[in-house]
Amino acid sequence: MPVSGWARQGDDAGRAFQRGREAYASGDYARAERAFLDITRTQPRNVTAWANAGTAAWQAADTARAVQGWQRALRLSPLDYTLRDRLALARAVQDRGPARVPPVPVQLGTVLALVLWLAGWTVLARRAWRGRPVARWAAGLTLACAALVLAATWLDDIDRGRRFAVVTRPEPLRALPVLGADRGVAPLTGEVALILARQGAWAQVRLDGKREGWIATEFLLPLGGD
Amino acid sequence: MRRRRLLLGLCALALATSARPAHAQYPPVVTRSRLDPSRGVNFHAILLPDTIFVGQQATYQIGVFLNQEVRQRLRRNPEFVPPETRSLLVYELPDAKSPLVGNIDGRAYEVHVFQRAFFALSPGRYDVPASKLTYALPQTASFFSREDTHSLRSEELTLVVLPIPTAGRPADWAGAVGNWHSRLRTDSASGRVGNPLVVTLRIEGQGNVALLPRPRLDVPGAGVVAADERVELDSTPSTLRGAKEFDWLVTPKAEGRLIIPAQHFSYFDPVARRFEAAATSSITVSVSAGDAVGVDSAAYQPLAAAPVAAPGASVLTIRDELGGESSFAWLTAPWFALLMLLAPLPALVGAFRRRRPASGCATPARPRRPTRRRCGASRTTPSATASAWTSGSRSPMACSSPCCGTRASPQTPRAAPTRCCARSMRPRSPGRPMAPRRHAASWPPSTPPSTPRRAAARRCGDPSGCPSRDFSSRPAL
Repeated sequence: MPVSGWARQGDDAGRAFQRGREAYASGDYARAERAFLDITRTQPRNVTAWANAGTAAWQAADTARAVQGWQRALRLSPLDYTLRDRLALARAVQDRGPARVPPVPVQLGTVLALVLWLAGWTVLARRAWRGRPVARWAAGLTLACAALVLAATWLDDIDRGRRFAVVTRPEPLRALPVLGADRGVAPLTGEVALILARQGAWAQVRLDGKREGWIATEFLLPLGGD
Repeated sequence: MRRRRLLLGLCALALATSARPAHAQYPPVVTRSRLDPSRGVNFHAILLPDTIFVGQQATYQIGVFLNQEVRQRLRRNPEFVPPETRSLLVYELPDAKSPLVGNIDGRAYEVHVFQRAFFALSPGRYDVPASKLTYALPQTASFFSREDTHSLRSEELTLVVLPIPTAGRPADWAGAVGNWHSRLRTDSASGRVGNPLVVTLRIEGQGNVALLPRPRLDVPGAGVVAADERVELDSTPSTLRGAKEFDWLVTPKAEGRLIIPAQHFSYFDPVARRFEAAATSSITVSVSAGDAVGVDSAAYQPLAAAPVAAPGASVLTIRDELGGESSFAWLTAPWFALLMLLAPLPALVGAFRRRRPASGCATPARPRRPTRRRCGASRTTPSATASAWTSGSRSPMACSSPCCGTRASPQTPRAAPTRCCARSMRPRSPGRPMAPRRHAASWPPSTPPSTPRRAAARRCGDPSGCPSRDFSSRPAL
């Protein structure tokens, strides 16, 4: 039964949350982080669980996991400035480049596009039924809405974080996806990278400041994929 | 006589050293592959070993067997596309400089062998897809003959990767796999307090040297900071080997004898299937008094080991209430797409009705398109024109299109042929005068025409008129 399944999931999440709180209060930050991460497995878009997991990881001296938790929470709730304050604790820059999350509501672009589309076509329908020309207006409306949908898609891509990852280790970037390749700059732990391509166990990433190179995927924590 | 004996002895030695079994000189893909003698080209792959531990090398060998006839007919080298393996680290191994030539099952073959080293980073079962070989053979012996392209696929293989056993695993094992030796050195045998020494641990041997983790170095009485790493890869024809050097900056805190302790680098030997340790000897450095400036040893703590949250720092607060899940943008929601698709429909329907006026308000008896006969009738005689006008269904200059009837008026006979009418009328035949001009001379007809609105009402059969069909003033969509 789906309903009972949801209820059970909610109960499990509540119990895990309580476990995490107790572990955090007792100073067992690693256990608290695990408990909060347990919630995110069943509720991958829970802002509170991700934020608390990040905080517990930070207290457990796990910078990459902390950035992952806070970044995922921020991408779900871009207007939450307490999360931005938390992210500012990390040494790696979190307000520029791939790490930057625009402070724009998640649904803003979508709602604007939808309202404009519906209102515009309502007006155009009225004009059409009165026998007035609508072609130019329709073209303009379509262009405006397409621009809004594109902007909303771009924001949605950032919010979902499918192409973003957190660097877990300051391993130097390679010029090619082989270990013998020339080594470049080393990213900081907790730096957010944009994944450009994947090849086997390697990922081509771009960091803030247009730094690009290949890094083993084992040194990356994904920011998307729920 | 002595010289003769010496010569004989050298010959015997040379024979003895070269008397190894013949198959030991060939790669396994040559000795283990089953060839189809009926085919000119055989293409086989082999993975050795097919069961490995995490971090152990598996060698992927591809053998291209060309029989003598095909070899002579080939005009260019075959193209080999290696398999695309996911989740495996792949290294190119150097190919043989020249192909192997020999007899297999009594047939002469030229064998090209390509090799790759595979490393898996996690246990599991990995499928290695087939490699592809493409070659072209001429149809005849002529130089200008066309070529037939052939394609072959090798076997699809499976690699099983086992986890590193937990039994006997040392506490300081950090994931190194292979067969390693280590050596410790410093850049100087003496130093001064506060002046850093460079201590280097060199680990060399067989295995994926780039994956070797940095060991932990603790030097009592000195600050230790991790510094550079260097990798030297040496891919021999069949195995990956090399050396990795780890540097530390060791800063003595007090004068005297600084002992850099012996290092034990634990690794897992996949061949012996047990954990080993590469040990070094300790190094003693004599440290003299340093500069007058004091050294803050805390500044030399390795960054990697430093806790992110400093001891004593305030503990961050967590959120007390478990909220619900947030939603992403509705872009991918089905109802969003449905709304976006349905929204233009009313306007499109309205515009469509505007473009197809005859389809909605026409009387059943009215033909959709004007006919030459009707238009011609209206042009031939003024009486016919007048009767047509009286009936309210025709303009004297127009065809049967309803828009023409509403457009035409006695006051503006020359403006009567609207765009709709002009589109529906056929070109007049040469030498035949255009009828509307004659009608214009006999204007107005005997019976005055009704207003366009009434005329439209008559056509619709609705006394209230058909205002929605009054398209005369509407521009096209």
